[in-house]
Amino acid sequence: MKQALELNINGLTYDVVVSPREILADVLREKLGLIGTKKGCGQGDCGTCTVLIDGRPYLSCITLALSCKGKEILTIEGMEKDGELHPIQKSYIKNGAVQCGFCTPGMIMSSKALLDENPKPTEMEIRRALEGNLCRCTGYTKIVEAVQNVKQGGKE
Amino acid sequence: MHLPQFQYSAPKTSDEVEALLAEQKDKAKILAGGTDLIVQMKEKAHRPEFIIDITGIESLSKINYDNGKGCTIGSATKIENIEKTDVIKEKYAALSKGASVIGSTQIRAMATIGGNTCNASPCADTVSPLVVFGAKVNITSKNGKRDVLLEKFIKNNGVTDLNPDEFVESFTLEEPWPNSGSAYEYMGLRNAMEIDMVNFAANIAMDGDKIKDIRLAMGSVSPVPLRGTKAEEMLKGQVPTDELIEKAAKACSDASIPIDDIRASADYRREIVGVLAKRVIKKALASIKK
Repeated sequence: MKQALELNINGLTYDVVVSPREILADVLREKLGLIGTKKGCGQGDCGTCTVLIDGRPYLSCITLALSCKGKEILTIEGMEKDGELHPIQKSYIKNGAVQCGFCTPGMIMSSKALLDENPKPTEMEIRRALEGNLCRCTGYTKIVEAVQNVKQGGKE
Repeated sequence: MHLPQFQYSAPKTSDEVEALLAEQKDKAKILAGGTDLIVQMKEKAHRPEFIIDITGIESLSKINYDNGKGCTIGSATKIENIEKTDVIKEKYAALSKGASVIGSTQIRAMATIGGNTCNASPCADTVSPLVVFGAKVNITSKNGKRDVLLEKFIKNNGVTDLNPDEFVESFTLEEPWPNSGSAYEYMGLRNAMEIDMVNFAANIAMDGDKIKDIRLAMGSVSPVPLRGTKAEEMLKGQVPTDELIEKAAKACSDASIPIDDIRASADYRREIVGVLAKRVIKKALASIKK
């Protein structure tokens, strides 16, 4: 049975009507037009669908929308502020960490979760934090460099 | 991939969960992190009519250490909290290590200890550590409470002792033995998102230079958690020399009943049981604070 649901996404409140079987990734993309969050494997393996829920990285393709009631969701769209890209996004671009771009939103959200907890991570800490995000293009080296080179530990 | 239809509820108390299960019984499934359940539902392996989301019940996600009495861990406690909480790292190191190697960063943020155990996969990384700490599973239903030793709770690959109207509230780990240390290792092809082909946990207490108490548990080499009972008997009351540890490791290898599958052959797994047994026993011994 469909239910009305209030979702707090990127600081804004969205009203949606969802059936219990709807996953967060689909609600973001299909109902709210927030297509920055991508769908890859659909089963929690590739990390492409990663969003932050209450600051922690979650796989939106295996998260029920209804279970997000009362939580703070941050998607890639919420990273820019007043038209300016977040330091993490700037670093990814500057360090050549974006090729096809499909893994990038998920990578950036996982990077943010890491830097919020640990502003100066070592290479191994970065690789471990991003171990749930697959990239087929870059070979990860530039992504690791991008996270290492984020200015101000990722704070705006 | 789409989920089948179901009804969803998110109760706020254990009592509400009990009431829902009393009514819905085996038509319902408990949802915690969803990292197993939702994936399995997408694969149509499960088609519950009702989903009971327990992540909103605060009392189910607490870690409570009572000095001298042991530790109670709520079934909805996130794997990443089990990995990072100081009391688990210090007193139940094998469990913190087991939690730390589950899945990926995201999986550890979502998944729970209740899910990892009740999913009852032979490779579950929290199970072997819980077994060596003598963990009990605290089960509740409208008809009352009961507790079962985790080793007995898991009955087969994917099968637990839970009745349709019951759910797991928490796990109780015994107070660590004085002068003891623990360790956990797994063998797999990848560093993350890996289903291990063998895992091994040890909990050892010393009295002078002799082993006073010991529990060894291996995973992925039997449908249920497997204690290295023969090896434990060999080592208990003895000085753990390299030679004796080697013999004990072989006993663990011989006791294992692995299968051939896509991840490894039974022969290789049997060999690796011996390798990990030695490694983990030595690591556990080395970690005992002088």
